[in-house]
Amino acid sequence: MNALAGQLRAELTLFLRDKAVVFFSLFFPLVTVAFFGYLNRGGQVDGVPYPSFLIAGGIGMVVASAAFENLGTALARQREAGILKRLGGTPLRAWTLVGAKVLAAAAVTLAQAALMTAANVLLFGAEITGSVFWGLAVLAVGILAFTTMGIALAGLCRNADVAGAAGMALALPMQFLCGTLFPLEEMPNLLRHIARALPLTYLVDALRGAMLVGDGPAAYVGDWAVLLGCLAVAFVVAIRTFRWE
Amino acid sequence: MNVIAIEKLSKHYDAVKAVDGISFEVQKGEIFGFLGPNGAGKTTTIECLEGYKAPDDGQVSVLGLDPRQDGYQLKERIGIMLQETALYPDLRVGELLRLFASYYYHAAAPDALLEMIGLEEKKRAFVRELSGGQRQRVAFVLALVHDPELLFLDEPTAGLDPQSRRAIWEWIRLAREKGKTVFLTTHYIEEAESLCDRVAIMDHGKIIALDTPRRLVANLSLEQRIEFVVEGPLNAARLGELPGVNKALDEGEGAFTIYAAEVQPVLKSLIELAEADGFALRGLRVEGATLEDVFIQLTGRRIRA
Repeated sequence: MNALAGQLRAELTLFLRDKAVVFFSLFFPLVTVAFFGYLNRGGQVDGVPYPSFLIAGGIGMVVASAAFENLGTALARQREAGILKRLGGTPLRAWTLVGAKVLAAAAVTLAQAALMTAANVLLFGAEITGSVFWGLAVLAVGILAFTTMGIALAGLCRNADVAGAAGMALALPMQFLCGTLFPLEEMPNLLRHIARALPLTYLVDALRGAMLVGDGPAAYVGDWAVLLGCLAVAFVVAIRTFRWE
Repeated sequence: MNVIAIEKLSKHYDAVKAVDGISFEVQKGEIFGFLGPNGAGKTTTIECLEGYKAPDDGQVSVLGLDPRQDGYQLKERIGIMLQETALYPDLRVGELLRLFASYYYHAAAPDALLEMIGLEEKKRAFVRELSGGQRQRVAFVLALVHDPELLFLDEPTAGLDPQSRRAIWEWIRLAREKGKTVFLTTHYIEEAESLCDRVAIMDHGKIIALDTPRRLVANLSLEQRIEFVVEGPLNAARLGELPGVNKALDEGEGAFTIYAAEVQPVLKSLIELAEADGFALRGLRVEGATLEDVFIQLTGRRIRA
């Protein structure tokens, strides 16, 4: 077994043992979506039933909370505890460790996104009228980008407390502003500008297009470019700011 | 053959010189110990050898490699035990061993290693459930998963009960029998004396003596140590005046230590002094000198001060 497979297996094991974290990163988005979905259950956005519109937004909320509310803190905490220092005494490469953490978190987030989708379908009869393939494709890129940003956060922050606060400060506005619960066009100008500066807006936009209409990257070049750009930059930052101790 | 060669290694933190221009070599197949008090620079030195820290000055060669330049290549061949090894608390012992094995090209069977440290029944236990001693054993065995040529053990038995300590000594000797070289740090006199083939005594970032434990002690002029407790008034200066006494130390709370080449005349005059000055001798003990005494002679302090 090579190091990436070994580390991935360990990271997944640790994830599944930390049930509280997995539960809470899904819990808040799920409650919010249930609330808004219930309030607007008969409503429409641009001719699309609100529950169907809400699927992509709910997934976006899950992705943001999974990436920012735990990953960075957990990594910073392992660093502070000295666990990473011991790993640094083996031939394990920083990128292998970061890659394994990203892949493990991405797998868990994908499962959470599936639960979020199922909840919308079962509770409010939401429908995926577009392409499941393109939906999964943009979601995969988005989850990788956000997860890597979450890891990069740990490198940029001095300790776990700072990483936790910074993650919260990033995740909360994204979860409400980025076209998750309401379309951007219905928001005040200022908030719309803020939303355009936040990467989650582009994930939700491309994901919604794929799920409702079935459009691939060709129709959302800007969104895909932002997500891939975030992934590339975050990976470089995550590796360069990575510290074993 | 030299497994480790260090020349004029220096490392400082801000204004503090943690390691101050030390040079030494470690030969293949020996157990080499760094003995000194906390803060002497032992951990800084070992971490320069392991590649954790970059030296500020001097040359470091480990297995012919530069730990900073050829880190990954070197780490395939060395096993490390940190001063306090932190391990994933939520992994099981068996999972942890398998994880570490995955980091190396060549790795031993985890089961055999667990058997060696007597923890085979703990394979499915979580790391967080282990006692301090058990965790220390796991940390030790993690240094061996890839059958390394060279072991770096930073205070391998710190805080352990005597039984666990002796067990770890046995495994360290076993590693030497298999041809491995061991570099360890310790502040336990007994560990340095009974385990190490050669000992470097370190204080304030410098190596102040380096030899086999036997020769370090033999080179002392103060061969015997007389320890006792008194009831009544006594000044260490009075002891120093006794014939044959090389050195007298007031250890506090009525405890004194005398160093002398010949025990018999000193004991005789000590008893005469007790009768003359009116104090009572309690708990008299005579011992051959140890590495502790070497340290005291060189620095004027105890190692565990």
